[in-house]
Amino acid sequence: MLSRIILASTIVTVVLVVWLVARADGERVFYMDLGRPLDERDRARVRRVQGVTLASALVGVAAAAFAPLPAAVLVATLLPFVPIAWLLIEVVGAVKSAKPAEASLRFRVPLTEPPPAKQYVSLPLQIAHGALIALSAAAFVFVRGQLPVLVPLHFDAAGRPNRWGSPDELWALGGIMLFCWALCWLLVVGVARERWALPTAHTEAYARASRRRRQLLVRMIEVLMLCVNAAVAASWLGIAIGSLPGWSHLLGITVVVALVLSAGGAVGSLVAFLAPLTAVQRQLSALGGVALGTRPDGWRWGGMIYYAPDDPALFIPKRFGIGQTFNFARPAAWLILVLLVVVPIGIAFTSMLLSRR
Amino acid sequence: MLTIEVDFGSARPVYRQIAEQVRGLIARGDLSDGAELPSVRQLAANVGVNLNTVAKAYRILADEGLVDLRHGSRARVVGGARARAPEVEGLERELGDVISRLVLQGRGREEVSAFFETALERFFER
Repeated sequence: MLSRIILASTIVTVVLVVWLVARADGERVFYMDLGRPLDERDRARVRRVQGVTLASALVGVAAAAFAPLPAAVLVATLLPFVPIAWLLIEVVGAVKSAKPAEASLRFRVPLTEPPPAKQYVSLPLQIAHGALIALSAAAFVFVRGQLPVLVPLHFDAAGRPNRWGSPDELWALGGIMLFCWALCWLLVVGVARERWALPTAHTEAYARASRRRRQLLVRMIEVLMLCVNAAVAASWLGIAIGSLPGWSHLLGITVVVALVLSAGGAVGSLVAFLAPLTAVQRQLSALGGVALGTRPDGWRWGGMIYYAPDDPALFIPKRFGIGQTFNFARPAAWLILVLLVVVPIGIAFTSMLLSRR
Repeated sequence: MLTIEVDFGSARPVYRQIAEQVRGLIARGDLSDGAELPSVRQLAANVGVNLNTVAKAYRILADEGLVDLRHGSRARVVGGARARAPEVEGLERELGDVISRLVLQGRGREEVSAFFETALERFFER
């Protein structure tokens, strides 16, 4: 029963996130300003995404409830990719038909340094983050000596263990928590170091709105990463304690808690921050546009990718949607992307190697 | 908030635009003695140009005696900054060029005078 609940929860969580993004609101579709009024094609895109998402939810929940468990696991593993892939296809289609205003070649630049990253972060959230990592590590050290030779290390979509190994491999989860915290700071620094260019009119108002946007982005990143790390901590300690004699019932609950925390973080962040971010983005567009100071010919693939070799900035405000992107002409952009993939794999691999010595 | 304006669509090189704008801020007293300019790297990132472009602008201002450049620290406005005297001849030539262009547009002496008067008002009112 618990396995089926977990399967259904996984599918519903992904569906919910996609559903939140799939909307046509005023002059925006999928939270992107296309630079032109919305038409029937845009609304049709949203309807298609919603239709596919709803169908995926119905099929997934039905499979989770009634199909034989191995089939239900397979469906729950693969089905979430369908609405996500469909959403991406429709987003790309919408961007291709966009007519964004050209970033003005004339703009103003402050002679003061932009506010540093630490001015945007929330001290309570960062303290909570650090404490979460430290306490999780301390709790694991406390129970480590009592753990059996083999503990479950990986679970399928139904919450059943499907790989076993040494308890020391669980240190990888601590490494992942540190990585997530470092990633949080990397993203925060990226927001703080984003190009600080202002329009020639309404300069002060634009600067205030720009600071507000950065503040909201940083807060969203902090909340999301804290929830992710809470999920990892729950997994780490849940697996450890659930491996103790008499505590095996905790394993299934661990998977549910981890799922709820990570999904709650994702959905909660979107719900809490998308609306104010969209509002401030609209304000910035009205005051002077977005992506000021970027090279018009640097925007490729319909404005989704920025590649400008003669622009030294690494972090660039997105032309569509909310957030920022890289200047992919800078080698550092590729280095960061590679590290984001390689480091978590390296942590898990190293932990596996060390535990087998 | 002190800002400088940059126009990538202008025929004037960006380093000259930066130098002119900073010079104007110093002349109006908006940048006072000891005021620090942004680091070369930060200003280059915000403007969207190579480091050397900003460095060149700062060197022009340093050669004019308006800012002090020291390795490892940011450029600072020099106290009681006055452009060096030899620069005045160059300014007369540039002003003559501006007057020539205005006359070639069909403006007479009074109109050229009114043009400069308006420019002076705008400069000191900022």
